[in-house]
Amino acid sequence: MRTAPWARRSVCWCGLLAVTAGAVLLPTARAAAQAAREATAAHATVDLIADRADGTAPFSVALRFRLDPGWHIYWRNPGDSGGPPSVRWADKPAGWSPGEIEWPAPERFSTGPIVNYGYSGTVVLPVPVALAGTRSAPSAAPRELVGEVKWIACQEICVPGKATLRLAWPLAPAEQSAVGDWQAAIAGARARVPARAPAGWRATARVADGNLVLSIRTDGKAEKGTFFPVDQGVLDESAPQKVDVAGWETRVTQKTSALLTTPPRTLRGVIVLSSGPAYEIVAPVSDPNRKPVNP
Amino acid sequence: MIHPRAGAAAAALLFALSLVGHAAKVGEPAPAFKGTDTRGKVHALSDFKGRFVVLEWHNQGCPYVKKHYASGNMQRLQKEWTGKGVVWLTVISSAAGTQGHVTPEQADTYVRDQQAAPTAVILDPSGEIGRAYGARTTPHMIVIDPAGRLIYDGAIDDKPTTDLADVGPAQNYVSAALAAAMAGKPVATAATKPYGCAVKYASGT
Repeated sequence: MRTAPWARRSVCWCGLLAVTAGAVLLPTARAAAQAAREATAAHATVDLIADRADGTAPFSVALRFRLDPGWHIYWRNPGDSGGPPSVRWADKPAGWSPGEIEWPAPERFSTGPIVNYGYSGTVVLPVPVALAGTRSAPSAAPRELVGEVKWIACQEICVPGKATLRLAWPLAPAEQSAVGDWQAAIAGARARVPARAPAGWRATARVADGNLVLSIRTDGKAEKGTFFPVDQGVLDESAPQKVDVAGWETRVTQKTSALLTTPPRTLRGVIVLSSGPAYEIVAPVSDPNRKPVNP
Repeated sequence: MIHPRAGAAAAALLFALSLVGHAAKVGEPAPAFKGTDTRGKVHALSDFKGRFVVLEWHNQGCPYVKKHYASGNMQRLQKEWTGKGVVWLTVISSAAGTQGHVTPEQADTYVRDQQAAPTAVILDPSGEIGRAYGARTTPHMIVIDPAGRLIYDGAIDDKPTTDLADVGPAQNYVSAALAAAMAGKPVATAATKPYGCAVKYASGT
């Protein structure tokens, strides 16, 4: 286990400054060992769940937020304000590699001119865990995963939250009997993570008259939907988004952000179709003003 | 065929009518405004020609604003730059009944308790000044040069979090813009996406 950063700091005035500034200190090893699997703060009950009881084959954990009614947390691109939840793994068994948060398709919220992307209700954010080497037999050795979770929950106002959550293997009996529910929750969240666009789709984008026009040529009947950009500062999120359907093509038109000086080479985002499914969009952007790359 | 001028005029009108957008781009004249401070004095942007002006959108309840005040960061910036002749206006565009909306007395008490040092606190409950500048978040920082041009618009720094620990290591865009402009150099980062809590404009606007 790594030495907590605070322990490496020599006693000096800078330590005093950190304390008096009320800096967020990383938890001590003792605090991490006492951390529970669940915590309630900032209008959420957040817990760490897993889809396997024995933690052997590659599996997934997830951050589960049960939010107070009316409150929301944010997507990877939060929109005009706020910020996405995050987790830092303060302790994990050797050989375990938790990956990046997988983001289910978001909803769009707006308060007056401010537009945000995020989630409400019960939110499950899966995190895949890769294991180094193969361990065919379940290990009886105690292992723990400790995550420092931070988020900001907003309604009319915003409240920041943080919690240190700990999940230990072998799981306690109450937890083992909950794994079935946890598997269902993680599988459900995964089903809402945008899938790769179908092989027969072609997405391209262009900049025209201060608008970004995304053209998705599908392999069948196109539908309306909502487009969520992954990168900030590309689209003017509070500008109206126009979605047209013509034959096999879904076309999304939205004003570009005032911050955009040159159009990006690629427009990345998610299209959530009105019938439900969500797909990743990676569209090359053509710009008549951009100098062509030397052939 | 629509005359090109008519099309451009229509586009300009639509742009002007947009509720919150960037009403001026960096490099252009900053939007004129008139605002009343907590002492009842009316300030117009034109009053400050010949001086740098910083506009700081503020909501004392917002955790992103609290990060900069609890750490002493905002107060340090205010003292440093007003000490160099910059006009620093803290602007509160929260509508009545929303978070951040305060009476003049409450605003003055906050400034005193926080040992803040703005030149003045402008109360903008109608949100008119906020909308003129496209203020989206608190904090949202605007820097105007002595010729009245917008030279910085966006985030206070490059760490869009509520963590006190992120204040020290952050690159402060306001200081960078003022220092560069005062030295006659171009502002390297003139526009960024602001971060913070949404400005609490009156609903229906």
